[in-house]
Amino acid sequence: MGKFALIAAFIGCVIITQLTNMLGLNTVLIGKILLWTVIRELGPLFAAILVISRSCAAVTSELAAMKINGEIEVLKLLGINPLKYLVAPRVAGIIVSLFLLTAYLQMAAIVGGLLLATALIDMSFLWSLNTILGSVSLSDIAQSLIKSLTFGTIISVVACFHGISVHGSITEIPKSTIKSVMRCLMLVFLANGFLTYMAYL
Amino acid sequence: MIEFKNVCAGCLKPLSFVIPKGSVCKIIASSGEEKYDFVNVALGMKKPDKGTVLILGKDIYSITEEEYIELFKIVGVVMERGGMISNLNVWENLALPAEYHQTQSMDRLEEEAMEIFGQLGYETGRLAALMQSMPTSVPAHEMALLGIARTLLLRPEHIIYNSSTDALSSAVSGKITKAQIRFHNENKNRTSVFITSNPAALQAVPADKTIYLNE
Repeated sequence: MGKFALIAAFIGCVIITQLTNMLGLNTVLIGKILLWTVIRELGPLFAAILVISRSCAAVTSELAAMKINGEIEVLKLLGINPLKYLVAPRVAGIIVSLFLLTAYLQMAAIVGGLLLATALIDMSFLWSLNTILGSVSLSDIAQSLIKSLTFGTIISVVACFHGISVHGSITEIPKSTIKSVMRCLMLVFLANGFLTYMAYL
Repeated sequence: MIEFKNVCAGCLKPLSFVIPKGSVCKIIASSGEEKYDFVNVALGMKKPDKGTVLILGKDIYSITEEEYIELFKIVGVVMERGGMISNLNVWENLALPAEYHQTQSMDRLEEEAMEIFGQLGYETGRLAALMQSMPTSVPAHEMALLGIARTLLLRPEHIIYNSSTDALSSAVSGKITKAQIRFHNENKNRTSVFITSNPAALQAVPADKTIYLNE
């Protein structure tokens, strides 16, 4: 988590530095642009990419290995529904963790970015932070929430589907994992474009 | 409890038989391949080319997945190699079905597990280490024992043993057969079905009926 916060802080710093170069020390405008990019776009997207790279591959390969080893059939023969026992907790877990990770990364990008930026350029940290947080609107939070919930649902469903639908030999596990990661990336970017477009219709 | 009506599948000869409720039945295959095909057909994993398979009066190839899962809450199955879930340790594997179905408290489950392992000849000292092991580090013959223990802990109304004692020595196999028969006699309506391709492994089982798959 510390590494993620550091990456987010550097992203925030890069955005602030670039904006300062373009706009000068116009903190109000910089704050608004930082909010648009971090809260509405980069936060949910960056969290989704991190979850895809860490959890999506892990979930798909774990479920695929269970399927190939016949463990999913064993669960059914023990009277346990694999959808309830294996899929539902993973779907819920990924959705909740993606939502929390998004909020964490957004805070890290804004606070960390401002901290790094104040060290590099002539900017008051507290005044800038107050200005930025003061401009957060309910619609910004709603957009971020909808995006993180949508991305979480896409990632968890695609990861579980590719895990439990694998057939054949053990060599199908990496193939299925790659397919799952690529499909998640594609669908998340597609959904991001669609949700952003819908927000400004 | 199980009924095959003119079933044809894979290398199996056409099969028709009825295993009545409350009986002990041995099913003997002439080869591993024949047993594999029979088990897959009987447990609903491979649809036969022809015929009907009924378990407790339900055609297992025409019921929904939900009904299939419900059916196997009543009919316990002991898998050939134990059928352990690889990402759970041995105790979690043993407790999984009972815990999932909330059939009994964990304390009661531990007591029953100790009792069953006692019957299977395990020493208490060895059990603690075994319970914490992951299935991949447990030898094949112990996996078979664990599979039996897990199903017995579930206390199913009917039970199917798939080659449960084939990989065991005759001394261990004898103890297990006694435990299996004791379990069968606990409930007069309980049906116990033993499937094997090694008839010697089931010699000590006092069966009411024996079915030879190649006849």
